[in-house]
Amino acid sequence: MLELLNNAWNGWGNFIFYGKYPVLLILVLVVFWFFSDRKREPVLLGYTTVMTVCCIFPLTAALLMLYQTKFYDYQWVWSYVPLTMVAAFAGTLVLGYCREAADGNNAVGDRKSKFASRGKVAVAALIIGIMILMCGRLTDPLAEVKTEWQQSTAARTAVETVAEIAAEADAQTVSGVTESAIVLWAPKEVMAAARIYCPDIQLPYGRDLWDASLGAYTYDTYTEVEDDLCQWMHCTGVFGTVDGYRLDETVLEGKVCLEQALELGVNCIVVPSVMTWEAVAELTVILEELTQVQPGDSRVQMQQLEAYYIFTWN
Amino acid sequence: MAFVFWLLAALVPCLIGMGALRVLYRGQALREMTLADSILTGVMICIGLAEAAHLGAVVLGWSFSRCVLLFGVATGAVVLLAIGVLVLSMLFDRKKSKAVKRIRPGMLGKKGDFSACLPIGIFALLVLGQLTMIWKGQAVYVDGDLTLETVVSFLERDALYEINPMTGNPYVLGIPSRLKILCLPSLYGALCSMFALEPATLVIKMIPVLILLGSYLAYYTLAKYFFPEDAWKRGVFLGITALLLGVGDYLYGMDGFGMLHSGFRGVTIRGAVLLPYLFSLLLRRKYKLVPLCILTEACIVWTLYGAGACVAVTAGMLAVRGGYRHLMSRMSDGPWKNSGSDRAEGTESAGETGKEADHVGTPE
Repeated sequence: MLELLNNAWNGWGNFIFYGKYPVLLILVLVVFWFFSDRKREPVLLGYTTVMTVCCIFPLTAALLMLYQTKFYDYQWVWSYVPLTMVAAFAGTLVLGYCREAADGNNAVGDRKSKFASRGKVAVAALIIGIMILMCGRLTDPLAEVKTEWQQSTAARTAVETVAEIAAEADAQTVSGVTESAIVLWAPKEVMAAARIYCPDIQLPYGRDLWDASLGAYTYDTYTEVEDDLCQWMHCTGVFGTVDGYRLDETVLEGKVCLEQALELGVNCIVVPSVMTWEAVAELTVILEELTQVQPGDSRVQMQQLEAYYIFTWN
Repeated sequence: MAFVFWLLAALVPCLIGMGALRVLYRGQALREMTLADSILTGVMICIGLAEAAHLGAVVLGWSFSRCVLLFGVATGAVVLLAIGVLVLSMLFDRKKSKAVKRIRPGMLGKKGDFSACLPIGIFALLVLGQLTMIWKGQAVYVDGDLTLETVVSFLERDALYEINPMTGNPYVLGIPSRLKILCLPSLYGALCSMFALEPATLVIKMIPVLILLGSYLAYYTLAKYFFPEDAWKRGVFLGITALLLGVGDYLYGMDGFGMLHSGFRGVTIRGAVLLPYLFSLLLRRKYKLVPLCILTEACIVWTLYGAGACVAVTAGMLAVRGGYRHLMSRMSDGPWKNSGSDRAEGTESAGETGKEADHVGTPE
């Protein structure tokens, strides 16, 4: 409950930090209750006012969060408030009054005054539009919605190449049937794309490892090994080296990580092309050492794409 | 097949909804219902059918293809039933030659009045921009959601929740039951299976487009309620709504964000379609459809044993309405006897005052 209260306490500040729609709503409610002589829709406005107050005050907001099973964050309590509807209703009423006033002028005025009256409606519409724009987003939405989805073109190509390599390997086997599926270890965006575009591909860990909000969707958990693998792969993308670092800055040795990956059944590795050639050569040597059945065997194949290197072995 | 999907996505909910409304409402109450009501009711019934098929598969361990078959057969049967109801009611209505036909003003208002064209045109442009943005599929927010992976895993394994959609490996401990019963992945998977659509295209592009349009239908019912005789104001209301949703996508959890960046989620359907429509129903006092909204939410969103936002909103609105009526009756008895009479809403006295009665709608 204390955590909920804390979330609710900080929630309001965070909620109005990025955009000011709740402030716009409060302004609308104040105008309706104190400056409007004809209160339309009193039930709707009464409900909106009560719920807005409940969402702002931490204790009531925490109770609402408790009601919505604690699964959802603070901003979801605002689902109970018809923010868009009430703001649009208020804007329409304001423009409606302006238009009615303009129509009244048109009935008696000359052409010039009619034009001026219509102009006032346009100016009111412009002011409302600017207010909405200033309370909302003024930036490119793509900048706000940064997920691995944006990198999916390159990631999808990598995944499809992996699937093609696996299909070729299948065709070369005598029976034409693989004994085990591809188990891919790759950067986050490639692993995310794999489960969407090539569901045959299995992963040692999934998106729920690095996206904590997905933790509630399953009782299954990961061990430190998977966490280390995820961090090592992240480091290859940042530093381009074979050795990486944990979050506590202790060293993650490449060879140890690769051994652990192979123990988890990984038979295909994709690394970002930011890796230096020396690092790629070192990685190849380690993989050959770990995968060889007899001394001198070379089973590792490497394929370079625009954004990734793909390592496979049979 | 995509064309067939779009055609049926418009036709099937419409037919089912029209049939359902004919069964639920009679006379003036039925005439007050619009095409938007029919479509939204039909969509909710379709989600209910998907839930039935999904629950069958989850509880009885059926394969996913069997679940799809059940959903398809059930939907087909309900469509036929709805057509039957419509034909019968048309025959019945024809016999009633004295029935008064009410000519409703269209979206553009009265004939020859083109003043509404400008706001409706601006609204149409804004919606077109939003549709284009969704269809480009570049600003998709998938954090905290695994709908697409779940749909893909259903289709790949022909089974429900057999493997962890995140890894492709079998579950070790499984998933919470209250997530397992939510039907959206099955519904999307069934649509992919029936219309041979790619899951990513359906979930990321097609469904959000339908949800966006569904949302504006819900807001249209509100516009129709707020401004029954003024098409210009309806256009302005929808235009401002489109602008608010369009630039209100600054934070995850906002209605606009859900509609433009993750229209396939249950919470988005709730926030963008169900809740506006629920408000519309409560304001118009069309209570018979309220349980349908509540049940639909329980089918698609993680709720407190079925009690979600729709239950809270319904309870809140009814409580405020009850409190308001009580206050008005106290005021009419007390020293403020005449001051609050023009503000009465939904009271018997308001029902007798012409315009107010029209505005409030026919109570059930």
